[in-house]
Parts: sequence; structure tokens; C-alpha cells
Amino acid sequence: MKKLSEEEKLERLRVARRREARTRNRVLRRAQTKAQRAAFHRELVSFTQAHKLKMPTDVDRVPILLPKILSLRDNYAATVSAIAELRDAVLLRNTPAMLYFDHVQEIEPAATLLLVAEVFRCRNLRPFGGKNRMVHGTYPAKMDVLLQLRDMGFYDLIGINPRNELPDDRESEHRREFLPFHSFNRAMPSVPRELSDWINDNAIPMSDVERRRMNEALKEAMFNAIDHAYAEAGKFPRMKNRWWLGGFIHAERQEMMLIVLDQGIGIPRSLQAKFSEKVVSLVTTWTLQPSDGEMIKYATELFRTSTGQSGRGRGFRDMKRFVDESTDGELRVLSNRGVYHYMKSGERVDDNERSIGGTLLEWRIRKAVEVKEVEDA
Amino acid sequence: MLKLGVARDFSPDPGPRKASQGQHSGEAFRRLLMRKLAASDLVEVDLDGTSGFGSSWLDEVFGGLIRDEGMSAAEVRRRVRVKSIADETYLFIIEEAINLARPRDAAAPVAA
Repeated sequence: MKKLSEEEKLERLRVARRREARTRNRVLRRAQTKAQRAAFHRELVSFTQAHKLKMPTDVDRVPILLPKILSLRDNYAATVSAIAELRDAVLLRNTPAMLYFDHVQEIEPAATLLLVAEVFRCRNLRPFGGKNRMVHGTYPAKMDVLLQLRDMGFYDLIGINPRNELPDDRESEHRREFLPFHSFNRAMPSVPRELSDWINDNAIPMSDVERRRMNEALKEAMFNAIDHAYAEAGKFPRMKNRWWLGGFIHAERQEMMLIVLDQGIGIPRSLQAKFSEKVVSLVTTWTLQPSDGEMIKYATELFRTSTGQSGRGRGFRDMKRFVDESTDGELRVLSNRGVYHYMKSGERVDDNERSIGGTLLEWRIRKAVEVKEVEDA
Repeated sequence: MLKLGVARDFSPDPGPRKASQGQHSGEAFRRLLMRKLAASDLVEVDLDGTSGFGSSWLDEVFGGLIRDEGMSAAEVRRRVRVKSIADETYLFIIEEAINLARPRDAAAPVAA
């Protein structure tokens, strides 16, 4: 047997120690993962039992219970929290998620668009094991909600069976007609015209000026989503230039809603607060940075721009002109934590605890309904 | 005088500000307008018949003549006539764009 030199002995010893350390770490990792999995499984069982839900087929899924009222107007905190939970699980932790619609009783178009956009992003940016693996979900127990989701194009947009075999027994006369959700990754200048033609022909007759104002508002909203929203990287991976469109018309009430959404950095982050605005913030709230709501309000002021170039900063005027042209209308801008409401009668600013992770513009326009004279019998 | 109709000669659906953002941009129309201005001292731009303009499109065309093409405000007013019978508010937006635009190298003006 060959006699080893001192150097060779030392080298062998080093190799043996490294191997031993690797084995020890592997065993520790395994034990840790096993313990974590067991804890996760216990939580999952207690979660599904507490909410009377079925266990997901894949037990590694993060269960997310959607609130009874999925709305950014009436149940902001719970709605945004559920969507953020999905975003965190899939995009940050690369963990599949299970969306439970079981208890959802009411849905609002803006909140539904925010949710479907997040599902769309999660499925497209984390296509491990096939696009459809990362986010699974249940169908709502309440039939009305399921049919509304179907009408909104929720299932079609993310490639899920829309259950067309289910009969729709709802009264058709008095209900909203949804504009199916659409997703684009470039500017589509003809879309506003096609949409205003459809609204004009099917439900709400509009004058040429009203149609132009609507087209201008939608165009500026989509161009802003492409030009400013994705200018910088955010906390979450993004689908550059991606924006979403949704809404509804209600012929009987002569009412329409149009929504444009992006998942960019948000207006408050894309705009620098001026010195005077910081002073106002310091005096009123004791913080140097104005709130997100205040920043949205500042962004809507004429000539306020993040580019610093002459001639910029007039897009929000176009968006407000659509409201000004209507008999009764409102523009609601949600961006990160802030909310800004614009009506002919004035404006209002609010702030929330959690961010929606992008910008959502919503126009709600009502036309005066003509009162028909009814002759006495 | 040459006539240039946005709806007839360019697109009934004017698009974004820059060509990089999408089709039928203000930048693309400005290039077309510059070709017409090279051929004629006076060009009439007809805005009627379109689905509507975003302010950014109008600014890129008319403010861009000053910012990017090196024309003066007086020269733009003398050589480009704008016709907009259906919506006169566009004339106001264009005038505002011309007043605010400065050549690329100059500092941006402070808006009133």
C-alpha cells in the first residue's frame, strides 16, 4: 500500500470534511422542508375546515379565500389583501396558489379586472409546469356571480372553461351588459372608436362631441399606461406595456362604466413632489412625502409631468373632459395606495393601507334619462 | 397651398405621441407634414373626420415642429393652417402647444 505524504493526508481529510458537511446540510434541509411541509399541511387543513372548503388537489398550494364582497369601492382592504396574497405567493415565492371563490356573493367590475389581471400575470410570468399550474381556483357557489364572471370574460381571458353549458335564467332587460375584459400590450388607437360605436349603437346614444371626449380619454389612458407606467422596474416582475380594458353599459339606466388598468409603478412613484407640496405635506401630516392620493391629485393638474419636457402633462385634462361633457359622471383614479375622485362638482382624495400595485382609471358616466309623459287612462 | 387631411391622408384613429408607442403616432404625422412643408410654403391640416385626438398627439405634431424640427412659433403659424370645424377646442390645444414648445436645447418654459 502506497504511503501517503503529509500533504496528501491533509487533502484527503479536507475532502472528507467537505463531504461530511454537505451530507449534514442535506439532512438538515430535508428535515426542515419536511417540518415546514407538515406545518403548511396542518394550516391548510384547518383553513379549509374553518371555511368549509374542499382541500386543493395539490397540497402545496397557498389557499386564498376571496372575500364575500369583491369590491374596491365597498370592501377595499379585504379585496386588495387577497389579490396581494396571490401576487406574493406566486411572483415572489414561486408557490402555486388556490383561489377560493366559494363565498363570493358580490363582484364589482374594477375589482374583478384587478384580480383577473393578476391571475393573467402570475400564469404568464410563472409558467412552471405549464401556464395553468400556478393559479387554480374554484367556481363561485352563487350562480349569479359565476354568470357575471362569465359575462365579464373573466374565464375567457385566462383560458378557463366558462361553463357555457350552464343556463342563464336571469332577466335580461334590466341588467348590465358587460364589455368583456381585454388585455393588450401595445397602443390600440382604433379600440376607443370601436367601443364608442358599439355603445352608441346598442345602448346609449351619444353626440359626436361626447364620443370624441370618450375616445380622447381612453386614448390618453392607454398611452399613459404604455409611456409612463412601466418606465421603471417595480417590486414585482412586470409584463411591459400590458394594459387591460373592461366595463359595462346599462341601457335602461343610460349608464356606462369604462376601466383601464395597468400594473406599473403607479402615478405617485412616477412623479416627483415639488418643494411647495412637501411643505404642505409637512404642515398637514408631519411627513415630507405627500400621500399617494395627494400625488395623484397633483398629477392631474395641468402641465404636471414626470418627464420635465415642455408641452407635456395634459393627458389628465382629456380624461376629465369626458366627465365634464356628461350630465352626471365621475372619474376615479386608484394608483398604489391613493384614490382620487373627480366630478364636475369637485374632487376628493383618499388613501388606503395597501397598494393595488398599479393604476386603475374608472369612468362612470350617466346620461339624463328622458322622462316619458304617460297619458292618464 | 397643399391640403393634408388627418382622417383622409393619415388615419381616422390618431394614435399615441411617439412612433415607438404604437401606430398612427403624432411623430409619424409630423414627418408627413414636414414632407408637405418641404413641397409647399403653406399647408392646411384638416382635423375633421377623426375619432378624436389626445392632447399628446396634437402636442407632438404642432409643438414638435418647434421642439424637434427647428421651426419658430411664428413660422409654424404662418406656414401651417389648421382647420377644425367639428371641434374648435383642438385649435385652443394646438395654440397652447405652440406657445409652450421650446427648441430641444432650450430650457422648458414654466407654465403659468
